[in-house]
Amino acid sequence: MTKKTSLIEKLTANRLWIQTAFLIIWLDPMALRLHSVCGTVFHCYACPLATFACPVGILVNFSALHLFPFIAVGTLVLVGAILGGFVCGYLCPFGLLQDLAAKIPVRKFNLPQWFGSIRYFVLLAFVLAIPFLWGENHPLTFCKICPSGALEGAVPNMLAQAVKGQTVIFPNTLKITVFGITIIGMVFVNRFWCKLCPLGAIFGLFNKFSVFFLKLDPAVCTNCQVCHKSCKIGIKPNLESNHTNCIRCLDCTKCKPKAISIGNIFKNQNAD
Amino acid sequence: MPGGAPGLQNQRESRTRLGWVRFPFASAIFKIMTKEKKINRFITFILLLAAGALLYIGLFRTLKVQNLPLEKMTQYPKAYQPVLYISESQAIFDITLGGLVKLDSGGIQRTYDMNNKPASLCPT
Repeated sequence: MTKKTSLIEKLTANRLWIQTAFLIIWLDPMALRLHSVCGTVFHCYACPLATFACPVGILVNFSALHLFPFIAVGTLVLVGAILGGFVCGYLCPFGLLQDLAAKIPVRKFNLPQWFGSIRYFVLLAFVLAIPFLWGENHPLTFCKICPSGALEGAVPNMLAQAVKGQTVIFPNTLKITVFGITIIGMVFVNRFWCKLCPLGAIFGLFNKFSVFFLKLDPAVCTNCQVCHKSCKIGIKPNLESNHTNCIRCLDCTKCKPKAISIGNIFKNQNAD
Repeated sequence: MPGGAPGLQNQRESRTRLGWVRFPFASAIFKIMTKEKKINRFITFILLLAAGALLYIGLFRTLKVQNLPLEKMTQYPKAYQPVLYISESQAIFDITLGGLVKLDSGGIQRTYDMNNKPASLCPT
């Protein structure tokens, strides 16, 4: 029991460092360019430093080609079924960017809980339906409006074009607008993009059924509501510890009675 | 405790049920479904199996693509147009470069020739 608690404490204390370590992996330090391998995080393959292919980009393009993306769906189901929302909290580079932006000392706003459901609409409409019906060149196809693509793909490529003295090709207006709103949003709202992220929508579905989950011990919980205050997403972890919006940052485990911990399906434990 | 340990008592009770004796498989599934945590565990295993199956299919399937630059398509009759079979991993690599497009005829066209270099930048 003591060992487990210390592991959680280590994870929460070093979350930024863990995210940074994974960022190095996603940024292709060995110049491997493994673009035939499906990644598991929201990181655009148009980025000159992307190691893996973006799973959302694969879903969009395969949908446009009317093909079922077996590898991408298999990878997402596998990772989701093992880790669930831990991917968003600990692995995602765009999540790291948001966590850093949240450190800017300005007043933070909370969005209502239902706002997180918009990402399912984003997934179904912009990632799957629009590319399937109108092809990848439709202006509302997700890749055409993706803020990650704007930041990691368009900006470096524009800089490269400017340095080379070539004509700088700007992304479309809608993409710039979405990017601007996302950047402003992530300063004023904790994990703003996570409430719209189609990849987070997929991983969120696995939160309740993943191998590792958040375990609430009702006998220990005193309903002190420290977890309510510490949750940056606005969930009430002692009531719904494996909520679909949860990114599993593990901040809710910091309460004194240690009522919430990490459980796994191999042990005889209750998932709240 | 009257009747011994609760676990043993449950075991005894379940063995007296008709289903346990005659339909052990159905009874086993029913037992899994009785508690939420067991349902979750069951779903997790199903998801892991599904993921394995999807990856297995994805890694071994091939996709048929037309391998001729778009401008040369009209020069060849459909029967003589070169066709290429690529793996799904190769298809993923191609889409990261905007290298695959869907034709009006329903087929998939590779936008670069086998001898040519693919585009270096994503079209988005």
